[in-house]
Amino acid sequence: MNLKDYIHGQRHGKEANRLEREVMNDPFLQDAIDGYDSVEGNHASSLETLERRLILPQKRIDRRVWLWVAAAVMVLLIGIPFLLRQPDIKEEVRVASSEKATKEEEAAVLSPQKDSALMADKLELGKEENIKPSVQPALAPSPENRSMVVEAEEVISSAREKISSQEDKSLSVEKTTVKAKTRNIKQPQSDEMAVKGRIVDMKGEPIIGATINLKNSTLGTVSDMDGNFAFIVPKEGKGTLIASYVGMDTAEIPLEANVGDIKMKEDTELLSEVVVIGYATQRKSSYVGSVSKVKVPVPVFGEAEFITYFKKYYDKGICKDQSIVFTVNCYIDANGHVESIVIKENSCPSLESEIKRLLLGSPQWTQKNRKITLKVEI
Amino acid sequence: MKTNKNIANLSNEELFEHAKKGGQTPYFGELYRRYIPMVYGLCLKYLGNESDAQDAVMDLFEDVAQKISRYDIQHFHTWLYSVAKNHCLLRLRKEKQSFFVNIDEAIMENGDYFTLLDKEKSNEEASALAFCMNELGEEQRRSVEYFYYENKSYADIVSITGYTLSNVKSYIQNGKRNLKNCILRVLMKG
Repeated sequence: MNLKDYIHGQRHGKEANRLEREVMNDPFLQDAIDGYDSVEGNHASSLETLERRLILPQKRIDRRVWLWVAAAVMVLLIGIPFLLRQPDIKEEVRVASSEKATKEEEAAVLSPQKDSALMADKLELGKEENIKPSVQPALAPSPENRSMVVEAEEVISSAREKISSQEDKSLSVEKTTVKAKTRNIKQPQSDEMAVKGRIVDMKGEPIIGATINLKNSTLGTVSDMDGNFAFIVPKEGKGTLIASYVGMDTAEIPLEANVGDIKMKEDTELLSEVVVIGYATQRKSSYVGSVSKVKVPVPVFGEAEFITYFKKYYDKGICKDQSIVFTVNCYIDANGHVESIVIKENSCPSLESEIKRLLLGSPQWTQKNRKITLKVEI
Repeated sequence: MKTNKNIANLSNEELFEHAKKGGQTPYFGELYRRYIPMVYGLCLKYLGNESDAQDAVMDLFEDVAQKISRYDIQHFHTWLYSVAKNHCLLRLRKEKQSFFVNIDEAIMENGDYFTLLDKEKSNEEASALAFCMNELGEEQRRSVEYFYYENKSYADIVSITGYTLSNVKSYIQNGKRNLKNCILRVLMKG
């Protein structure tokens, strides 16, 4: 029995048994059967379609060759006339000749009419002939042709300049590229100035790929292999540069032409924990997967615990010889932190700052979102 | 150039010999065509839907045509299995962060157990087997007997015994494992 029959439900008899024995020793076959068993669909027709699409590889290759030939022909057909024509002249020429043609027609139609009208037409025609360039293809430039050609060329080249200068700007603004584009920077215009500098770390080592931006603008660049950077900004005088890099504190420096070395300090904040699952990584807070969640036990912290905590950490030098009795109201917020501290009674006013300090700095309270009243006696 | 008829008569091994040279030749085309049902089934299993599986089969056609000349392939069948499976898994990895592959059945059904069931045996081995068959629990013994002695398919055994399909499979697998352990013990002692 072949696989297809088995897939289509022929599961009885010696032949099926034989296939099943084969399956035991062939994980490929096993996976294939699993696939057909687990997914619904008209497998017979799907298989037929697939076979049809893949059959006769020679034809496939031929078709490919055909496509290439067709594409090449298209390119030639479009390309050659495009290269040969000079757009402005030819269009005018065409327009001229068509206008001329219509005028001639009109003239012919008008001929039975008055001579004066005809004369006027002819005069107009004549005028047009003088003004418009010759009908012949633009290869033989008349003086007017030439000036037009020159104009056209000027227009084209200035347009190109505009495009390339825009491109330069947009390239330099590209923040995500690491390669420095500062090499081919063009000279600043009269209303612009160049900003140069170098990004280093606290040890003086250059930082590669740090981002430097002009604050509140899209202008900026990245530092190169030596930490150097350069880009062009409007010459408005005041401004701030922002240097940033992963793992470093963002630096702000006043804008000047030669900034010199910008020292960046390492960011001491720890990166959040990352859980590795198979081949993907996800932040611990957002994963949904087969790894079971591990609950980190949080110790209980409430009024009693605070009292112990206070007794342990308060500055015992402050109210040394006095008895300490105080009552304080406060609120435990949603994160288990203390806020809205109001000291109701206090036998030793100098202790007030200690009370506040230890309340604000206490560990996370277990029961959240409630008002509490603490009475402490030492 | 060989006509289509001739190519169809070649064995997979012969086709592979020609296809090894690389490229989308008629030999390769025929070889791959014969494997389409298996590749498609595998892709269905891992990708979970028909259209993705069909795309994968098409992509693999070109992929395999390129790779076939690059590697020293001993056994086309097993090599194609890993290429196809890796292709599907790579695709899955790109789409999802995590995915689940059911490995239970795979573990259950694989295994080249030394059970003597399909093989020629000496007298000693035959009596060891007979003894161990008797040592099996009833469900396992019946399932193994029907499958190996009477060449019944899983579906047949389900009808005869009333066990569920997955139970039949696990009885046979566990039965084989038990037979193997028992036979080895018996033969070692002997």
